[in-house]
Amino acid sequence: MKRLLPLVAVAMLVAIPSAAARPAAPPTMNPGSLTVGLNPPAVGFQVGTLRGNTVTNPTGFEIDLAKDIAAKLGIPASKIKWINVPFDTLFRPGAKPFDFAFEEATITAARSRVVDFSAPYFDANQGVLLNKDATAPHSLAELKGMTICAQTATTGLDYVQHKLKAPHIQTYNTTSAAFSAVQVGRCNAFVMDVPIVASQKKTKPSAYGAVAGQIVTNEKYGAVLGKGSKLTPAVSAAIKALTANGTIAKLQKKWFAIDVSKIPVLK
Amino acid sequence: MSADANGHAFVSLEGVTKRFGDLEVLRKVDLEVGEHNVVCLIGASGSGKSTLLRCINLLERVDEGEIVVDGQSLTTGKVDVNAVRRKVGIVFQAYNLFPHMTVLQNVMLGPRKVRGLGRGRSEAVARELLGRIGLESKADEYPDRLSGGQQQRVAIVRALAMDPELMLLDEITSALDPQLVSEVLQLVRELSEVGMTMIIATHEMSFAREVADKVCFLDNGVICEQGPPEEIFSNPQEPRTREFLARIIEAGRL
Amino acid sequence: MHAVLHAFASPSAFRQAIPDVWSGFLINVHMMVIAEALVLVLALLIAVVRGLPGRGAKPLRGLAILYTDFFRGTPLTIVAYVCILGLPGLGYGILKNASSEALGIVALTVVYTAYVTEVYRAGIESVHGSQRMAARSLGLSYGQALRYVVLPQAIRRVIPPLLNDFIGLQKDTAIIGAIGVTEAAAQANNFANSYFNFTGFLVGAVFFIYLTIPLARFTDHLIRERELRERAAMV
Repeated sequence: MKRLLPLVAVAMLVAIPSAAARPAAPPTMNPGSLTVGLNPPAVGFQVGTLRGNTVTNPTGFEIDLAKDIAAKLGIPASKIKWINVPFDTLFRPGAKPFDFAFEEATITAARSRVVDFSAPYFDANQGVLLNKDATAPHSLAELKGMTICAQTATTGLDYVQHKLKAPHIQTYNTTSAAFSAVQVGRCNAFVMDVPIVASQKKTKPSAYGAVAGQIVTNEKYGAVLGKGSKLTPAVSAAIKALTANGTIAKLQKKWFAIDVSKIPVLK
Repeated sequence: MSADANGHAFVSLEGVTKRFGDLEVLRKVDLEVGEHNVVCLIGASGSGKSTLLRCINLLERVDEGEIVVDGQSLTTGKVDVNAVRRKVGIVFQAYNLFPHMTVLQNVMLGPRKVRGLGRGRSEAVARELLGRIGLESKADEYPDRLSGGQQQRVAIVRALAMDPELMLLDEITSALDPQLVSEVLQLVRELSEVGMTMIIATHEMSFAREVADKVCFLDNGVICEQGPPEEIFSNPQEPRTREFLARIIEAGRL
Repeated sequence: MHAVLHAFASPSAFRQAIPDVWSGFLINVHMMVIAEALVLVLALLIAVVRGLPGRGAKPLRGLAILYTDFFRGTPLTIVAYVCILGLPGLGYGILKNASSEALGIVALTVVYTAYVTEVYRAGIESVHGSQRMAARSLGLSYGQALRYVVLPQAIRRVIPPLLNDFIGLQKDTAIIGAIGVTEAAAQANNFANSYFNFTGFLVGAVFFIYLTIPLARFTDHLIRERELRERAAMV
């Protein structure tokens, strides 16, 4: 008995640190795999093929970022499930069908009451994409008088509706529909995050007029998680680390060759 | 008796044949009807009486043969169907009044839209006809409020409102309650008395005997026998005629 | 449970949502009134064409059949997207300048005309052949017989299914809200996305029901009246 006690003490001294050294599996929906919500297409951020609810062959800035975060969580890229989540369902209260979602979602106080956001991974302002035949606005006052398209549930719509208080607004449920609308001339201007409209314009230059201006709103994108999700601290930590070591800056350079500083600021 | 002074009948059918698919319903029918005469068609159901009448107002087109009404051919050359139907009135077993119109509107429709009389004149014509059959009080009623006999009499004056030269009556009492038959037959009797040329398909043998100038017995699409009513009813020549009449008498209908 | 009630039926949110949803609802009413009027007339035209007799009319009949088959088979959403985002791109001035609401009305009209044509056609065929026979026997032409005898009866008979289709049309005006027309459903959706409360949808539903219920009761009344008349006639 007397000889057992020192043995047990030594065993415990060895066991406890090694137990602490082995990381616990992250609290994902399905242990060992990761479910990521997407809503393609958004040029530069994410494109992929939709098959029912799943997104196959996704590529883009947010995809690379999601894979890097998964690696930091200890989940290999092969174990990531990519699902399509319509944008305007993201901020509904209730359980989420994903672990986290990347959909260029701006962090706002109102949204934060119903969902969790990770640490920010992207800075953006609103941009104004014109129809080919539209006259460029040189001020917010001029923009206010134009017929403006916006997408449902976006901060762009919120801006033109509640801050700019433009009288002629058309809302479309999907980004594609809104892009079609400004292309075809249903409206003169489409207000949406600058990187999104600038990337689209770069891809299809002859379909639209210029990106006439940007509106300083200092928005920050965050990954969306269910309110009180246990993953939030881990995801935020991962993003902070990837920002600190320059990975995110490299990804931005890889996917977005747009010089946003060239776009005039509307006042 | 059949032909007019020049030897032409008012209505003449020559070699009329009508088929429905493979079934020959009329087979080489020859018939002549003189002006102001009444010809009654008798025979079993399916013998072709209705079809014959419908060929005369072009509701059916004959496959072979000639029909001439008042000197105008219905079977050769270009025929203005609506013009023919203005001259030839027809009344059906099922009255076929228009249920969405009042009795007056039913009778007025033809004069107004086909004869082109104005509203006032059409109404006057209609009211006069309704008065003649004692139904002027029903002018603003809808047909479903009238008895069968009343509806059939309205159907008759609806046809008369077109001022036809020939009236075709297709078993017009067969669907009526027995006690309503006589009021309709009375109207037909009056028509014959004022000289309306009529071809009447009927099961009412006593009436046919009384009113017809000529009776034709149709059997399987062929006019088996025709002649004055006294001859046909009292002294039929053909065996099939005799058979038919024997069965009628047996059923107590003669 | 309390949270659900608050999210979908909060009295304060109800009051807050009313002005915007009401202004959207006026657009629904505008669309439905114009579309219904157009559908009533166009569908009757196509139903008549569908029934034209004779060999010469065969291509016309064929076109009518093609039209009704195609637009009864295509979902309204697809037709609406094509009308609102597709047609203006064709380059014709009149299409480019047309409002999205007007193009939405076009989509509603084109789809519902196909349905209502079949309703009229059923009505016309339900009028017994003896009616047309009696009308033609008076010397009325095909067109006159149709106009004075067949169509009046046919239309009376199909008023209930007609009204049913119109109730459907009224609700389907909400589909246009996804494509740039800020009608009631789109307003309710905006409200939900701005305030994270769905009571706006309840407001919209109340407006629609207010419109539909009288119409539905009226239809029931017409059906009952017709039944009574038919039963009396059978006596």
